[in-house]
Amino acid sequence: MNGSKGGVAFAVIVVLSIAVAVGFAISPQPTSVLSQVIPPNPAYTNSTTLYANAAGWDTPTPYGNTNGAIPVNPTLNYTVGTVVTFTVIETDSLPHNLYIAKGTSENLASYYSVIGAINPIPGSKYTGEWYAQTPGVYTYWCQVHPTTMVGTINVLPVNSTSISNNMVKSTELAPAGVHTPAIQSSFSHAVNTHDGSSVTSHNSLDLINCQCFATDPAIIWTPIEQIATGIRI
Amino acid sequence: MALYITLLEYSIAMSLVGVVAFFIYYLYSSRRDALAEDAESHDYIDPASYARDQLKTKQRFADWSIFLYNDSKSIGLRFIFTSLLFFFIAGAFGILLRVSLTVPTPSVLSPDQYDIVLTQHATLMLYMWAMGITVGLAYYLLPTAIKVRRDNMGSYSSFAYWIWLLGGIFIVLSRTSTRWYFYPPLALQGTLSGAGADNWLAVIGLEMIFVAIMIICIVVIRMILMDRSESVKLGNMSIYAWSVLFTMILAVLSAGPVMIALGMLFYDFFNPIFFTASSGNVLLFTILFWFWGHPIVYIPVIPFFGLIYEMMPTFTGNKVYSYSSAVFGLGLLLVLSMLVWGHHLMNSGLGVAWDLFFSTASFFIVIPSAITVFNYIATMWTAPRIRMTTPMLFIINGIIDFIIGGITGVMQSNVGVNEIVHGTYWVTGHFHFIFLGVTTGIAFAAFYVLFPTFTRGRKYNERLAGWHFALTAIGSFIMSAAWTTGGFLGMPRAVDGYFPFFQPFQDTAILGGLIIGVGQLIFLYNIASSWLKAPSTDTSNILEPDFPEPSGSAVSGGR
Repeated sequence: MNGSKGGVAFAVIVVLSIAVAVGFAISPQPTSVLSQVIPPNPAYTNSTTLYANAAGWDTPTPYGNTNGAIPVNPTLNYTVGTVVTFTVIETDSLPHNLYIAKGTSENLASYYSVIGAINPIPGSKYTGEWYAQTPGVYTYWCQVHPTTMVGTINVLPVNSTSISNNMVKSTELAPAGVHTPAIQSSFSHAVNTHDGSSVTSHNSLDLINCQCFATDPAIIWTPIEQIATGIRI
Repeated sequence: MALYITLLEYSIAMSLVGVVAFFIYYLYSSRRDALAEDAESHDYIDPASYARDQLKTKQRFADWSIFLYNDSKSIGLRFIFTSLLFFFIAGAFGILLRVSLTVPTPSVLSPDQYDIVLTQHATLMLYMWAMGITVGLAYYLLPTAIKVRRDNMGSYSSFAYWIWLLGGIFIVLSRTSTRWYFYPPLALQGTLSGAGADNWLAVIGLEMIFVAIMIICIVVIRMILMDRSESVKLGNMSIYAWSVLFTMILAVLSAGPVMIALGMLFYDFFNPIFFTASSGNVLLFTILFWFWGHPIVYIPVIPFFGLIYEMMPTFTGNKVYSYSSAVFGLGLLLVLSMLVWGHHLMNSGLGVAWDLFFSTASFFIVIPSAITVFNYIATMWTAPRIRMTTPMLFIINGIIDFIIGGITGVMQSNVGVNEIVHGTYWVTGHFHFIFLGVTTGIAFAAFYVLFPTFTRGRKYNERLAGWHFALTAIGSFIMSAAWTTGGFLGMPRAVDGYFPFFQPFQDTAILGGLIIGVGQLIFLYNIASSWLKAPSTDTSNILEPDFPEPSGSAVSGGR
């Protein structure tokens, strides 16, 4: 054969590799992390603060931060349509995150990554938003400590009478429209710093991109100053 | 359940890969034993030296067996053809980028897809094409250029090749969208369509490439400094060997910081403590990165300056005008390129004093560049007659492109001008002038020169090669010139859209990009069709002069 097919073989390899590489690069990537579109004017808003401790999730009121003592893993109740801003404060120098999945168990096949990873320096604060879109029982947990740091979220219908005040100061009955547009708030969560710590909520960034996809492409180019300064949306 | 099925699929796929790898290893091992026996029967102590000599006399050239032998020429051929493959892949990504910018708002590619393709284009072109062809030509040409006595580091080089290749595949698989510089706040975040979810894989891949580069550098430096023939003195070593030596020293000196930075970045994926925005350490990453990031753009350029010095005398018919100034210029490039990395960070808050230092150091780069260019011009000036073959056309085009790219580069190292043009297509144009003109163009020239050797004496089609040259040169000039002009007017780079004001510049760049693409298709067709023809010339070439050294003088390798 005298190696005369070498060039053809090379050309075939090149063409196949180009097809595979380009097709792979632009194909949508499967992901089990669900994404949410945070409505700009949610019916209700809520701020929930959780202290991250390997012994269990902890809340600040009425007992204060008890570092894993009672009560741990509080059951959180929200009215459907609430945009919940979770604030997670590190207490024990261990890595934590905050995932939420529908159902009574930790479901890694489809979950919301509300706070992706936190800087394990005690006192550092992270925020991420979650939209309680449909009524039902949800589970929130820390994937690093899935056996201890796991709790339940009840999303209740609007006119439900069984809303019990949990430890969280709730603003469930706030009138619609008072909340700032979600895209701005989530963006600020993604870039601002709180108490000198960085905020690296993956979910917030997901939400920004989510907004970009969900809307007309032209809308991406409305904040013209950002493009002019080279900021990637 | 779906998770377990996915795991099962991965396991089966990995098992198949393992079976194939084991088969390749079996072939490799049996070939090596056969080669050792054969070498012994020919009174060789070192099988690799035997393979090297056989490669010269028996004309066993680019075929599948290059993946089974560990002599320098086989390793070089592996790198050359693999990097050429990645050139076509990354080039397809580049064409895709151009096509997606036909209208101001992103339409062909979504923003995430654009970022992925942009990152793939840049990373593959730099680490797989530019680094690969640099290393490949060094491995292939150096044993002849310096008449190595000993060629027994092949196992290390082979290992470096495989992890370099695997690193490149990891980068493709990661679908990262962080640009080629992996700045931490972006590299640590994911996007909705998953671009960036596997950034850690890209960091591993890049780290593997760096390990490969370090191994290669040490092997090649050892080859040049210790395994040279006694008849080749440092003072009259070929300029190409000097340029490779400078390049490898440059890579060894500058790659350390970014390897450390990538390791820390990898840790940050799981436990973000190093490069957090609040502590300001993000700037630390940029410094660690650009300490390597500037030398990397010299590493694939300096050896090609050396190649021009090697090839030009053949086509001009005289000697290089000044050997000593050529070596001095390339050496000065080595020193100065270590001192100018800060000009990538002039708008990052290093301070005016540092900005001025880096700006001044960048202006000094003009001196060695001008020495080199004037040396080329003087060589051509004093030539009795210049033969305009395809390689010579590529060389002349490379010199012209280097002059334009160099001037645009010096302009943007002015602190004030940099304020305006940083982050615009001006930088992209400057970069592509040099990389398309010098790195890629001279690599094509060398490939054309070596083509009869690779293919056992087949000639490439001169006419198609001429078209390839014309389309590459004209297309790259149109594209880079449009970018440079638009960039000076403020056209931001690395975004998936642009203002309608910049439509003419983008359209011109698309035209240039498509012309380049057609040229490379002609190149590929030329390789395939010319290779099919019967051998019609001898396999010698100007870059590999005959090996008159009697093998008996070898220290440990020869008979």
